[in-house]
Amino acid sequence: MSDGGERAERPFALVATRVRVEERMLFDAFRRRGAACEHVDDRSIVYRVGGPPPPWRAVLNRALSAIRRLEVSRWCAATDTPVLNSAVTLACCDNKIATSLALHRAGVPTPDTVVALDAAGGGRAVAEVGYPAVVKSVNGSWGRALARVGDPDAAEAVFALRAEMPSPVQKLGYTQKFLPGRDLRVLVVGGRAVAAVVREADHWVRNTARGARATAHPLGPELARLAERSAAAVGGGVLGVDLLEDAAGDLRVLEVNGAVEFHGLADAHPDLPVADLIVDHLLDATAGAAS
Amino acid sequence: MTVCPECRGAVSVPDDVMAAEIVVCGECSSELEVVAVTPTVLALAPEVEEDWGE
Repeated sequence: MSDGGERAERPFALVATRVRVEERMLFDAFRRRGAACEHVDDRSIVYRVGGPPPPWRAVLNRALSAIRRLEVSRWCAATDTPVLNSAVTLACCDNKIATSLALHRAGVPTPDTVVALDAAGGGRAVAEVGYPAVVKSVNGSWGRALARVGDPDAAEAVFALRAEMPSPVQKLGYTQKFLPGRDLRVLVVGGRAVAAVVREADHWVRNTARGARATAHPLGPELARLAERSAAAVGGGVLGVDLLEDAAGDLRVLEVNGAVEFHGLADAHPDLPVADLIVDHLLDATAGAAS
Repeated sequence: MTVCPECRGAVSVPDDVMAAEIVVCGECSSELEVVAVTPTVLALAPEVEEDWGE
């Protein structure tokens, strides 16, 4: 890095649309390390291509919008500004098709997945994975736009509605075999699995954003290794790997979250300094980039 | 106290509030975004968009 000395004088940036409990925890972790960090609302960013680089030493990118999130990291990459997560990782994690392809390529077990490139093919995709199936939005999160489909009539109804949606992304058919089991999340920071939770809810959708309860789960070697392999498959960084554990104990990876929310995991593991681990990883990456 | 932009009710805002935090109006239950501090300015929080999430 040619301007490493100058860059070392700059503050870190926490790019965030919302300052939630996680961002508060991260700001506190920066403060504990004596590292100046400013909040940057991703909606406020305007930059000239070929103009000055971002005025920050490194960036922790937690924009809520997947589109803006990718653009923040793309700008950082183009200007050699260290950023978590990278544009490569976000482009993979924020598209379920890309995630599935990357996990499969890495030999990571997932539920049987069939993709239709138009809503008209959605019924065929569901029939191929078999009933019951789950139809997901390719860019969905927080448990939104999920449908469990039990028969061809339900599949036809779901995809008839999707065909009418204005967003071309919603016309894509991403379908997975519905499998019963326990819903686990493992936090991976810099290639190392650090903690796991099990998420429980009365509903089959078990996102904490929809009220699921997260409790501590043992991070055994098999679970840790699979989470770490999944994280590596999507490009690495700070990641939330969601897995399903069936009654036999077999694990399948459902998705990998590139802008992971960790308040549930932090509550479940009160002795684990989650925010500090994330900030330390950014500081390490920054030191490595400057050397 | 800050005034709710939706119902003009009084909204209690913590002393250490930061821009981009969300507060809820106790009178009308609107979700409000802190768009500025010192002085605190509140606006109706935008709806969750299609690509928002983790």
